[in-house]
Amino acid sequence: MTTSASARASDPMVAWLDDADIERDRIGGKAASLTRLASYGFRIPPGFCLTTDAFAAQAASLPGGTDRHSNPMALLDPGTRSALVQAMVAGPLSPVVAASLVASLQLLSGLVPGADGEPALLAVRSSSVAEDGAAASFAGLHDTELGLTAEEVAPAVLRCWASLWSERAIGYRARRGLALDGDAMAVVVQALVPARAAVIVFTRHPVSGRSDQLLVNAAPGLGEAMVSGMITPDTIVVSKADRAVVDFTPGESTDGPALRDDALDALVTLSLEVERAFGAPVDIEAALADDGWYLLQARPITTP
Amino acid sequence: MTDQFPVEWLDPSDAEITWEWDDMHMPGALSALAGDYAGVIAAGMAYGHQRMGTPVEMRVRVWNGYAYYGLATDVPEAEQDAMWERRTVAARAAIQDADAYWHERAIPEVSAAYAWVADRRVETMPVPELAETWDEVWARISRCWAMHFYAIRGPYQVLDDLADMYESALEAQTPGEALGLIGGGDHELQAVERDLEALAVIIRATPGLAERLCEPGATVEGLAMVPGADRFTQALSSFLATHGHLGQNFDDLMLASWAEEPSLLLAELDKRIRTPGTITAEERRARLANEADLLADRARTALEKDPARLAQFEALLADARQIGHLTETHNYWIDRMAQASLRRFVVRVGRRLADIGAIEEPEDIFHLHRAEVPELLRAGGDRRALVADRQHDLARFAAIVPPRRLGKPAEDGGGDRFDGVRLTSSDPDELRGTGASAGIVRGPARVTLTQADFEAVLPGDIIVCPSSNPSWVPLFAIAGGLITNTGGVLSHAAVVAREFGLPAVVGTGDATTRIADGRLVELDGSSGIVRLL
Repeated sequence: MTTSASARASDPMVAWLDDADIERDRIGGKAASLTRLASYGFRIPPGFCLTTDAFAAQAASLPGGTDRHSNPMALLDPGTRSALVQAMVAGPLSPVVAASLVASLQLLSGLVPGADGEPALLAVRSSSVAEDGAAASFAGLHDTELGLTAEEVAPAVLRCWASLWSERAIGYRARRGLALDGDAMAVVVQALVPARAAVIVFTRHPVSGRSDQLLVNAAPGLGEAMVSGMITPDTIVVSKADRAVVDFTPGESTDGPALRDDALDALVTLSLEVERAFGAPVDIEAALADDGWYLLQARPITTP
Repeated sequence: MTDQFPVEWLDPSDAEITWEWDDMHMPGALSALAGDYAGVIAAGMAYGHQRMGTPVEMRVRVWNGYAYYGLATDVPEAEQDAMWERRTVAARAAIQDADAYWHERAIPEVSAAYAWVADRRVETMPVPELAETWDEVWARISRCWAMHFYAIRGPYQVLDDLADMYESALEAQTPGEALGLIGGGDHELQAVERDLEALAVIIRATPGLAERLCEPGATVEGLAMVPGADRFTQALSSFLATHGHLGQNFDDLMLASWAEEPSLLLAELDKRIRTPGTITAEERRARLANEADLLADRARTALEKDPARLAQFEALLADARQIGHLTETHNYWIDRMAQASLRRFVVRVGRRLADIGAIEEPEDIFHLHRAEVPELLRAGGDRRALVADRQHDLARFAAIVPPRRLGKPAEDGGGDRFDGVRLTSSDPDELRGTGASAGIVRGPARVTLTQADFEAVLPGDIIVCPSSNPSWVPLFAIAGGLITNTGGVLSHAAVVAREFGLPAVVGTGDATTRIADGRLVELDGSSGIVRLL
C-alpha cells in the first residue's frame, strides 16, 4: 500500500496502518498489531485507524463530557452506562471527527477499487487500548462489522466505540482487575478483501500442543461465518518439516476443498514467516484474493 | 427453578455463580424502579472492589421482585483466599485516610449532589431537558453510593482488627462485647434521639399540644392550629430539615421519609409524651462511654505483659474511636439521604408524567423502569395498563418467601462480622442468633416489617425485624430489646442497638416468621439465645 505523504498530512485523529511510527496507546492493540505486520513487510488490506484522539473528541461531546466516560463509578452503574452507550450510538459524529473520517475514506477508496466498478466494501473493527494481545485476549468482546459501504462507516464507528462500555466488556475488566477509567478505544477502518477463501492458522496445534505441525481451518468466502462458528471449515494438518498434508477433514462446503494445493503452499510459507517474525507460535487470520494472500490478523498464541 | 419462584438467567454464566438474596437491606418485594435502584447500590459495591484492587465483577439481578447479588471472578478458587487477604491489606491502608476522606471529600460531595438534585426545576423544565436531568440525577446518586463503598472500608476494617485483638487478649467474651469499646460516641444518631426528645419537651410545655397530638389522626397542620404552637412547628421544621431524610425502614425506593410523611414522626412523639423515658439520650451515652472505658481497661490489664501488643491495641482503639462510628454514620449520610433525595425527585417527575396522562398517580412512576422514564418523557405514551400489570405482579411477589440463594449452591461459611452466620436450634421454643448487644430482657414481641408497624412498638417491647438502619433510632431508644433475621455484630442493627444500649440478638434467620406478634419472649444479648415463653 502506498499513500502519498502529502495526502495524509499530520491529522492526530487518523493513523494509516502502513505507518509504523505510531504509539500503541493511540491506536489500540488491534491496529498496533496490523501496523506491526505491515512493518514486517506482510501484505495487509489497506486501511486506517481512527485514533484515541478521535474517540476523546467524540466522548467529550457526550452529555456529561469526559468526566462521565472516564469515571469508573459511572461505568459500573448500569443505568449510567446504558445512557452513555445510547448517547454514543445515537451520534452524530462531532464535526472534527467527521471531517477526518470523510477525508480518509476518500483516500482509501482511491487505493482499492472494488469489484465490478463498485466502490470497495469496508470493515470496521474495534481496537481497545486496554486490549493486550499477548496477555489477555479480549476476543469477541468488542465489535467487528463487515461489508459496509462508505456511508455505513460512521454509525459502525459509533457502535464500535460504544462497545467499550458493553456490560460484558465492563464485567470482563472488573473480573480481571483491569482499570476501568482512562480507557479509550481506537477503530480500524479497512478495505475488505474480495476473498475467495478465508483461513485461520495455528502454528502450534491448539489441542495437541504440537509445534511441528500447522493447523489450518479454511472456508470459502469471507470467513466471518467460520470465525463465528456458524459453519464447519475444512481442517488441514500440515507437517512443518516437509509441508506434507498429514490430515484432511472436509468441512460443510459442498464445492470441494476451500484451498487449492498452490494456495495452501503459499499459506504455509506465509505462516512460517509470520511465526519467525514474532519469534513465537501464532494464530493467523488471512484471506485469499485473486492476487494472493492478505494477512488480516496475527497474534502470539495465548497460553491457556 | 420452581413454579413458585421461576428464574431465567440473563446471561448463561449467571448460572455458574452464587446469588444471595439481600434480605438485610431489601427484605420486601421491589417495584421496577426500586429494583433498578438496587442496581445503583450494586454499582457502588463494584466501585468499592475496584478501589481496593479486587478483581471481581459485581452483578445484581431482580427476580420476581427480589434483589440478588452475585460475585464473578476469574481468579481461581485456590487463590481467592489470597485475593481477599489482599483486600484486607488494602482496607487497612484506607484506615488512616478514612476520617479525612469522610469529612473533606465524601460529606461535601454527597451534600452537593443532594442539593443539586433538590434544586432541579422539575415542575417547569421542558420535557426533553427533564429526560436528560433524570439520567444525570441517577448518575449523581450512583456516585454517592460509590463513595459510600470506599468510605466504609477503613472503618469496618479497624473495628474488625480491634475486635480480633480484644478477643484474642481476653477469654470468655461474647461476640458483641469487643465493639462496646467504641460505645458512647456522640454522633448523628445520638443527635436524632436528642432532637426528638427536645421536640417532646416543647410539646409538653405547650398547653393543649400534647392532647391534640394524642388524638387519633393527628396531623402537623392540625397541631399548628393550636394556639402557641409556633415554637413547636419551628422546631419540627428544623428537625425535618436536619433529619427528615430518615424514616424509610429499608432500602426500598418506594418508602417515604419523615420529611414527606411527618405523621410517621408524630407517632414517635406521641409515644414519648405518653410514656416519658426514665433515662435521657445524654445519660445513656455517658453510661455507654463509661462502659467502653471499663472494657478498654480490661484489655489493657490483659495485655500488660506484652507492651508491643498493648501499643498496637492503643493505636487501634484510637483509630476505632475516631472512625468506627462511620460504620453507621455513613448510613445516615448516604444510604438514607441518597434514597430520600432520589425518591423525592422521582415523585416530582412522576407528577409531570401524571400531568401528561402517561400514568395515573405520581407514585405510579415506581412501577416503571429507570430507562423507561426518559423514553416516556421524550416520546410520550400511555403506560397506565403497564403500571396496573406491574402493580398486580408486585402484589403477587410480595406473598412469596424467596430462596436465600440461587445459582451455584454454597455452604454457609464462617461469615464476616457484618453478614454474620445463621444458626438454627433444634428446640421449637428457642431461636439462636448472634449476641450483638449484652443484656437479658423479657417483653412482648413486636414483629415490625413495615413503616406502619412502627407505631405499634411501645416502650419495653421486643422489636422483631429483618434488619434496621438509622431510621429505626426512635424505636431503639424506647424498646426493650431487638431480634433480627439478618446480620452479624457489625451489621447496621447491631451497631445501632449497642449505641442505644439495647439488648440484641441478630442473625436468627427467621425470627419474623417464627415469632408471633405479641408473644412473650426472652432474649439474651450475650449468648444469642431467644426463648419463646
